[in-house]
Amino acid sequence: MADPTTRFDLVYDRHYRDVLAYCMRRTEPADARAAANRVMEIAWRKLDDLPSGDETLPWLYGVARKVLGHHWRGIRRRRRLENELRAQRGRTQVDPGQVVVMREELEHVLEASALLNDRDREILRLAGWEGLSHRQIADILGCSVATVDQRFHRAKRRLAEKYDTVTLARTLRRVVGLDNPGGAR
Amino acid sequence: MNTPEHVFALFIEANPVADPDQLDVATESEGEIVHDVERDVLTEKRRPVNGRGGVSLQRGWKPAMVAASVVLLVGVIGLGALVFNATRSGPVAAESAVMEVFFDGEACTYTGPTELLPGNGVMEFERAPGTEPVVLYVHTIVGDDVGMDELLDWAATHPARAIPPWLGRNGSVLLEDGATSMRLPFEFTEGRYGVSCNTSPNGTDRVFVGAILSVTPG
Repeated sequence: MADPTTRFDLVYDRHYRDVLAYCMRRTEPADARAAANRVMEIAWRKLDDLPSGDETLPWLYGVARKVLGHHWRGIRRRRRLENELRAQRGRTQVDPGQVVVMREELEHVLEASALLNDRDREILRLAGWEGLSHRQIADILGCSVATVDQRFHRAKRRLAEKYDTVTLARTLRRVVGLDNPGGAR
Repeated sequence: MNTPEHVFALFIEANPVADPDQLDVATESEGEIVHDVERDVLTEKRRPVNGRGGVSLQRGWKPAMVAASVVLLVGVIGLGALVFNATRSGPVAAESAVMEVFFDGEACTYTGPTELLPGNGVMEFERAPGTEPVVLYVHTIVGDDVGMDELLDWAATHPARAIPPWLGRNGSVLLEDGATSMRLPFEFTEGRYGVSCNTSPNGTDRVFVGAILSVTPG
């Protein structure tokens, strides 16, 4: 078995970017980096508990989820309520040389996801953005696979409902001229 | 209506960081904290640090830095003693202590004295309306080497329903349904106690550490 330093280096090299990406999908870039650092600190201290193989990254995601919940809770909550959509748009510009023009429907789906409760949103992110299996998600959330299946199904349905609501609201605003930049203020 | 599958496909496409390999993990240009690994010259053990690479001691600088540190330490201790003596109020009787814990959905905040005299106290527990069911736990901490870092690490890593051997459950009260506040009578004997808010019905899904209380005979 590899010595602790070598093992940690391997974990860091293989997974730090994924952990950072996980955090950046959920909070401001600066906070995301600090959170990712904290996750790796914990991984170092808990190296004996760190599972190997395919279980390593979900374990790190699970830690990141809790770290984000603990360390940026107050700030994160306020920012999330006030700036979630704006932050999401900002985070799409990962490559500064590339101008990302977000399609309207992607804006709508992000707005819709912001209307979901934390649990629904997180399960959709873990499945859709982190690409985890339901088994891995179950490990992270501390529940059974059957529960994940059920929650995921419901979360998708609720997202679709919110999406329709958001799309309809945007359409109505456009019809009455509220979204017209040249219209009356 | 759009199908859930179609909307979920859009959601996947809207991933703000679709390719983690595109992330720049080396830059510190915006003053952000980045991960680094430094070699601790005292233990020769590699460890991760936060911040701008941390401070690396060079062997040639060590004696001077140690001397400077000693001088600084003496000064800080002297100043600290003055401040401590000027402001110290000492342990508070558990019976008269006002101890409040508030859970807002993202934080478990303890307000009250952290040093107590043995006795029967009452902890007021309140949660913000609309938050999920939450349990207030007062755990006995076993072992002198367990501090806030260990509690926070546990909260960040513990698998569901796993309580570390250095924590004993002593008292708890559950807020659920329409209840937003309750009182937890508790007998504080000599020792240390961890105060935490645990969400989910079984109280072990997510742990929010509130405080460590120390009870001494006075």
